Amino acid sequence: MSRVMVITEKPTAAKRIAHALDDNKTPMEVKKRGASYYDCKRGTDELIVVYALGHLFELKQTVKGWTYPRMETSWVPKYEVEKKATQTKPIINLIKRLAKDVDTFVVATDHDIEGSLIGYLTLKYACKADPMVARRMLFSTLTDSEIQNAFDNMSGTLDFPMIEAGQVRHEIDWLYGINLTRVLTLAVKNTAGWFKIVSTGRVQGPTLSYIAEREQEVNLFVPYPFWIIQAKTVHNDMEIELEYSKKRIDTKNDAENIVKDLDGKTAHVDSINSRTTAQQPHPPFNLSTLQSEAYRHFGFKPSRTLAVAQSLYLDAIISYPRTSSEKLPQTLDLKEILKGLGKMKNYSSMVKQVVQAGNLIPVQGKKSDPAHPAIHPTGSKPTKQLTPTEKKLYDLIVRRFLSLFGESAVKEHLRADIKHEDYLLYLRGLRILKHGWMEFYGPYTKTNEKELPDISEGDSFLLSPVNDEERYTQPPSRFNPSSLLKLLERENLGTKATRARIVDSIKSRGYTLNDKFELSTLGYALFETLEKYMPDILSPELTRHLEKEMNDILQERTNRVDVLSRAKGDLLELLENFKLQEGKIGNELVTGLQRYWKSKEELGECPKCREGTLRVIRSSKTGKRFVGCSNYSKSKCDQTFPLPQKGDLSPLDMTCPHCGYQMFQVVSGRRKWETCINWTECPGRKDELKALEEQRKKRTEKPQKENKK
Amino acid sequence: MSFCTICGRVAWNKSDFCRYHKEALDGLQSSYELWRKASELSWDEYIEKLCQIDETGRWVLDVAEQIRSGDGLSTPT
Repeated sequence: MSRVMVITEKPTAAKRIAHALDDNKTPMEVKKRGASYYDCKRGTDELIVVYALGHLFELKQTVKGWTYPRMETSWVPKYEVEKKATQTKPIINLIKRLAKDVDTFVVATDHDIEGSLIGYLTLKYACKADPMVARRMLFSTLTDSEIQNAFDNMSGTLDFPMIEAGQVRHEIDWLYGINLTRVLTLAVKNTAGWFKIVSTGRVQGPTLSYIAEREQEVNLFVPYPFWIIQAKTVHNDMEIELEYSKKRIDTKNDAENIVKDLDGKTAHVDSINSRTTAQQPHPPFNLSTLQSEAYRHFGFKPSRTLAVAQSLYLDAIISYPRTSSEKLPQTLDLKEILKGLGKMKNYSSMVKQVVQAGNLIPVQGKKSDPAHPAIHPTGSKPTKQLTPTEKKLYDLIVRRFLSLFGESAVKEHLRADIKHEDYLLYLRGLRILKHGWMEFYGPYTKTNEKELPDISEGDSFLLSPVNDEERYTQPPSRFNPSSLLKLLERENLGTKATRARIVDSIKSRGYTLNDKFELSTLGYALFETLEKYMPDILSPELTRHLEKEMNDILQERTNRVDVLSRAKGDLLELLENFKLQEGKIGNELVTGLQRYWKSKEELGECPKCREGTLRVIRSSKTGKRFVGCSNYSKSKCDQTFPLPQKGDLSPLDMTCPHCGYQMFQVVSGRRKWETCINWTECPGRKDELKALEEQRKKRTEKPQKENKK
Repeated sequence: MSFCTICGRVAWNKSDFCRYHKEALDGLQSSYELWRKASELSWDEYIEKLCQIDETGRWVLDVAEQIRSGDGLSTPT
């Protein structure tokens, strides 16, 4: 009998893996000093299934001092780097103790760069085992059958190119992130004496640059006028809107002439044309398309979609979500998945339709991923009650999967050409002749069906009224989380696992203002400074080159040591160049920060003294914030306004329509609202106050009721 | 060193504006010809229109408002 340690990535995964591998499906959870492991039997082997909590080890500089350059690092337990990571200590200690009497080590973390690195670091630094003799389980879903198969057919070696690529990614990200952030932060500190973390990094820099460039396009946009023609008619007592054949008229004069020539005139139906098109189902989801679709339908941020998908994966009801693939391999047991889904009330009738149609060849996309298939349901039933968010995402994934087996949707596009002399107008209709796959994808498809009125060739219409309307060209749209993520993917910046976090960090650092990624004054200051003094950091070329080198490691065309050495050389050159200009950089960032804080804290002219400026002030005695006049310290003005104590405040560029006072926005958790500084007295805000009062009442009543119970 | 009369950034090449507002002014001036052809507006009417339209970029709006307030910037030659 041999003792085998199976290293998993998370507690939930450990539980599922232990359950799948135990002969009796009753693994025993052994709890020890704030951590646990699973004890199971498989044949003659005793399995100890342990878990990490994502990364248990992180990089730390080996030479002390919060300065730069810092180039040498070592892997240390995470709790030594992150104060909050206290949970990792008992887990590392437990793995250390258990590893002493183990014969074979098996890595069963996720099959991707991060998963492979987590397994390797746990083996090397917690188990103190030789990674060269460890074995590797490879799987894409956490279903019993796939885990058992992965265990019985495990690989005899770890995937070292993947591990090296993961290691070098962490090392280079650490080197660039830590050194460049210190460069900027210390430049501010040495100039103004303030300590404010100003961060940038290998991918964050180019991302900021894309946002800034788009912001510039929006801010520099000069709209051009054009005119559209609106024509109406009545047919069989029904008002019909007609479309003028030219969508844009360039001059006011031309538009007025068209109106003059058409208004009150008779037009006739010259011809009715129909065109039929067939639309294939969309390809299976990869992480990026899932994130994009979830944002479109539910408004989920990409990071949220990833977290929810991860939770569905850990419950073994969907496959591994961090995949680029849009393909389902032939080895996938589609019948078994459909059988499982057929047992679920929501999907049974659809599954029946799919099976009856007999076409079990799914539509495939173009992109592939060597490690994992496209995201698909496993057919297993959830072991727990899904949250509403999980339900939504699961439904989207299942319906997308079912739609892959559907027939093409057939649409009939109808167009009636209506003529008056040389003028041409259209009347359009759209009919869905066959819904095909759309029936399965259901609420996530848009049909825009529009019946063509009952008209025939030769019918006459009186065109009345006919008007022209002035319109303007539109500026480019700002990014939203989904479009920014797509851009990063298209530009090959970051990985499918890191992009969502980068998108979030741009916002959480204060570089952008809202979900529309409007650049803040701080974002501008950072962008302008980097553009002037360290343009390489903003260039996607640098990071794209590093991504290519990491990919070369994966393909075994180069190795970690060489890539790291080149990256360190490039970084040192950048840092030396920076050191020479530290003063100038510091000055520009300080000016930008001052502008940022001003924009965050100033709320316009004081309505009382008309000289001072209203500012957000925090009381040194109570710690509470309020609005006060800048002339208060000179004993000239005592104007104050109360402020909500929770949430992030940002002044708005508008005044209250009820009382004329400055408006501001409060963002607290997921809630966001706008009010004026005079909100406690404002006649228009009585309802808000009432609602607030009721909320307070409810909050105070709740604990009282619970106490009585 | 001189500063932008609108936003306080460093002025661009001896202009009264920073590089953003200078670029906005250039764009605003070069677009007038197209506006004039399209709707026969005078320069002042054009500036007034830009101040009213939601689609106008923020920096262009800043410059248009400054022109409207009559600080000496005039019709491009």
